[in-house]
Amino acid sequence: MKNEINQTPERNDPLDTLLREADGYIPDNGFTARVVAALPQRRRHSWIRLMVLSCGTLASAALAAWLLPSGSALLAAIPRNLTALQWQTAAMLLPILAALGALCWGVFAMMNEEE
Amino acid sequence: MSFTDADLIARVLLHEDQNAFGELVHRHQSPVRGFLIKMTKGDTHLADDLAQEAFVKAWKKLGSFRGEGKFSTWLFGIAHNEWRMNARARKEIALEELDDQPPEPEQADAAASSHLRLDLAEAMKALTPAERAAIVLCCQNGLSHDEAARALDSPLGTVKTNVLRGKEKLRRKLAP
Repeated sequence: MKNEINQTPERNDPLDTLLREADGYIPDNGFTARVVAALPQRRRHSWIRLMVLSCGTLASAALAAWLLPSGSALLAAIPRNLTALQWQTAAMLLPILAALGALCWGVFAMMNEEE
Repeated sequence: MSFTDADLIARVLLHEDQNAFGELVHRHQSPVRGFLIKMTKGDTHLADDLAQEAFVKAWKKLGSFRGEGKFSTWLFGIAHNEWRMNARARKEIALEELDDQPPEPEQADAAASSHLRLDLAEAMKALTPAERAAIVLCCQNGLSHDEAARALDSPLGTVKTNVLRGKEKLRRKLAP
């Protein structure tokens, strides 16, 4: 009953009849073809990007947690080795930098994504 | 064999099928364009541009259509939003919302039956945009008040009031 109350128009109202009759079918006249021609590529794999971002975040968090005990020593070693940065130090930093870089790129790409 | 809207939507989402989306556009172009023609007060070129934008936006956002309501209701919502953004850019809404004056008395011969449709189109232009949108969706496209409220992103009570007020204005405008 409630649904009936919410339904419009009232069938016996001459104004409603006039309104219904006045709203004729508009022929397509190439409109559909123009719309289809203007369709951009759909973003099908946005979920993959989300997965990559999530995995990257988790991986970088895991790396940070794993390296944390030696992290302070690593950070303390950097100023001493600034002039002659050891390969070993650079190799330890590389995965963290790569993960952070990927994360920044992902966030930047998402922010610039078309609505 | 004819596909339902839901079948076509599934094809678009799964296979990026432009033909399926074309079929959806073909099915719904007339009511959406008709709605926008009325909202733009008969500017068919602008209405078609807005309708095209609305369908392209529907293509992009189709994944967010949950299927809780009718596809047409969802489309009307996008179309109304397109019109609203355009009108806001052209500063039409603020001016029109103020234009809620009582209708002027009509000439006695204005409601002759042969001119009734023309009179109706003219009378519709005298409504506020909110009243026009509610009348077109509820009385011409058969949406329930609930569906129209969802499409127009308005409270249910506001839509009901706009339909009643709009119809009252139309009656007065069309009275012999």
